[in-house]
Amino acid sequence: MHEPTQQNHLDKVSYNDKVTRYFLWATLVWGFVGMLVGIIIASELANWRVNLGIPEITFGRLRPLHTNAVIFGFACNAFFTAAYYSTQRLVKARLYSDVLSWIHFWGWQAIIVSAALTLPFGITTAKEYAELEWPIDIAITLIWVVFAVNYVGTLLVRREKHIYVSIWFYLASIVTVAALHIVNSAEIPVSFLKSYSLYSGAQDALIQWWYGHNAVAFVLTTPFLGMMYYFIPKAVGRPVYSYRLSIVHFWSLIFIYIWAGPHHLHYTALPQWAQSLGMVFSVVLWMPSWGGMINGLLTLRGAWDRVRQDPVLKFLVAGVTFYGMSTFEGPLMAIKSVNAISHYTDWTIGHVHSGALGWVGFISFGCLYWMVPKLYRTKLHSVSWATTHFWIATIGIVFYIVSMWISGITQALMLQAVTTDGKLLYPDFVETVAAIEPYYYMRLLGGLLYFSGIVLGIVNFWKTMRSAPAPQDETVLVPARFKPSKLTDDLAHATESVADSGTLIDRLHHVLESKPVVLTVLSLAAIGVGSVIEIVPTLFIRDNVPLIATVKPYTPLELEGRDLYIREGCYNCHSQMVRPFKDEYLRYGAPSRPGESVYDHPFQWGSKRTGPDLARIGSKYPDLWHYRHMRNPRDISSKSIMPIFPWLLENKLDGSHTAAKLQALKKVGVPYQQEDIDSASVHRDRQALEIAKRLNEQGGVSLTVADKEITALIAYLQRLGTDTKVSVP
Amino acid sequence: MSQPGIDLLIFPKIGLLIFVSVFLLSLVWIYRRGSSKTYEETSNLPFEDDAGTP
Ligand code: HEC
Repeated sequence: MHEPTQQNHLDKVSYNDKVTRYFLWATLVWGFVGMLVGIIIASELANWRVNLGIPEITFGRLRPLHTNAVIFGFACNAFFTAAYYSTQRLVKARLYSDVLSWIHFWGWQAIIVSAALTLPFGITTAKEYAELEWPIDIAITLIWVVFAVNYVGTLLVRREKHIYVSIWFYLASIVTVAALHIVNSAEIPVSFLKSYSLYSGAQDALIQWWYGHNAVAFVLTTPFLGMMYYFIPKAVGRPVYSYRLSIVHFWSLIFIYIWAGPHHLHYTALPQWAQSLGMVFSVVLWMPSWGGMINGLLTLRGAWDRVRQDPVLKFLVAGVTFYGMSTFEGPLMAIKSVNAISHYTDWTIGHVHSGALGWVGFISFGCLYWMVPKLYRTKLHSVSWATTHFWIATIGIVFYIVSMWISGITQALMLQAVTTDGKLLYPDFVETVAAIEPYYYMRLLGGLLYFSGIVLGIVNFWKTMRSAPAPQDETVLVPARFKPSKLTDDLAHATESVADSGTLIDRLHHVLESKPVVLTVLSLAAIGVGSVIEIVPTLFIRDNVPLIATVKPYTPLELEGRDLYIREGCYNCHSQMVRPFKDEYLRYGAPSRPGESVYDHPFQWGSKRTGPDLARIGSKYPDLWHYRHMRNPRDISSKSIMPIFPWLLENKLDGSHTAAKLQALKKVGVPYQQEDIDSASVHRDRQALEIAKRLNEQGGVSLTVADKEITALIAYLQRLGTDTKVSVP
Repeated sequence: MSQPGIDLLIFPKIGLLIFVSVFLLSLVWIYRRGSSKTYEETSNLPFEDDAGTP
């Protein structure tokens, strides 16, 4: 074994706490912004007027900003703060490089700012939680690599032999997020701020939800489990209940999570075998999740009374409890028969928020309340404010979850209700919307409560900081027991230890649990297995997505319309995926088949039906209907909560990239011919004129509408589902 | 819908099999002889920084 070399020698180490403090404030700033945007979009759903007719703040454009700000702004910065704080202390080393630390900090904040500067303007890839366009995707990759190098570098210069389990969770998060981001963001640029996904239809959907689900796993779960394993013991003053359990927890969790993604695609046109895989692994996932929860909670054994006094423990314990709740609910919702009800409804939104507000939010704030006094070497300004924050936030979550359960289940049951003579009980979708509107107000109230808690927390932290002495980096004296300084040394130790006289098991332990590089490779292997088995067959077995002869690529105008659909974020409220249920058949038509979306880069199946499915909307209504509906949905459907889109009737269509768009799609496999590309703009204008003439005949709309965006959108909507109308029974 | 020659339903089975092996292996691993001391030491790592502060 590698014995301590310089047991008596003490090293002076000063931690880079300055960058940690910066990350801490970034967490708070983005938490404030992201949740404020959440409040705005919740109000927009409760009352459509809040959209104000301003394109940039309309629901479809703002909802991605909310998710990006809370996931990448709030949660990621909380992760960076906690990881940098705890890792330096666990390995008794300063962060590997100050320069890399600052590049990481400013680079990441610049990425979130660029999200805020693009998403409201409709610059989006339309892939949920991966909406940022390709130049920002590249920036994310670069900054993530900087983070990874800085982090692994810190582990390599550590002064502690063992690597504590929190660090495993952080490491697994870092490598997996890198893999997820790179695979899912593969896209072909059309212009500086426009690209199309490399994948299409069912394949795009599978990869997107492999990404989406594992973003939940490796951005919103594993980092916070790492935080749980460090900060709960710190706050209680005793080690984790079972270190052994934490190891099993780690390997089982990262191994299983990666398989569960397809549960987002039950009853869709995704191949059956992939759906079954997703379901089975989601249910199995329940075990490691609860193993982790129990481990976290039992760490408090004998110290439960402390929860009464200490807001840090309140947040952490409640956070872990919400983790237990949402990881019970999640597998339940992954069971197909439950999913048939929950999917596309507010139930999913409630589920996400019990994880996001309860687990991620509470663990973050527990850790922040712990770190702020340490990082500023003073006492928290007000413990009672922190306790108040905890209680109003908890009540807020309860309001949020309960209202979404009621709303989701109510709407699902209404939509599914069929009369004895086989007709829909509520044939008009909007009746179900009107029924759940009160719960949208209740959710808004829940959000407001949670948000006021955050504001109170921020003021508390601000006051704490103001009363603190000038902050400085913490300096400690540590025994220089173990000090590999370079990657080569690290590898050398590995071989050395094999040559040592210890037992094989000793050597294996050394390699497995104290080698960051080996640990990283093994974690990658664990997530690799599931990913490969799940994704590769879908990509390469063509039979998974049988082509349908009548399904043809979009015309140039329809394609432009589709890009407007993406720009306005219609997919945030509308699905394009009819599931094989009786009520959906009656309401929307024949179930969707994988072959119908083979030319859809990216897929537009959606994940939430705030409005009806649009997969077969084509030719259901006259063009004029859409024209009037887009101008103001209430003119047609008085109880609608859909926003108004009057600018589509006024804005000229920007057709400068039409040919380039066809060209790009041709490169990723859409069978456009060269003459289609050459004649793209002529064809586009001709089709627009036809629609303008129809609008003119049907309702006296001026022919100048021909070059407006609305004609493109109508062309697209009228195309949806029409390719297969003849061939479906 | 399936490719001639490949029964796609084999994939869930392979997956489950691999998982069960990983799980059993990790159980054997954590209860290996002499592990208690290591885990005891490691689980106390979060508290060591308190002692070192000058
Ligand atoms: C805030 C959620 C929301 C957004 C965003 C939204 N819609 Fe809607 N949509 C609805 C609701 C609710 C209905 C049902 C009531 C109605 O007909 O207005 C609806 C209905 C529709 C219908 C009629 C469907 C039918 O079968 O009767 C169409 C077409 C439509 N929306 C298109 C769009 C397009 C195109 C966009 C993007 C430009 C969009 N919607 C954005 C909520 C939304």
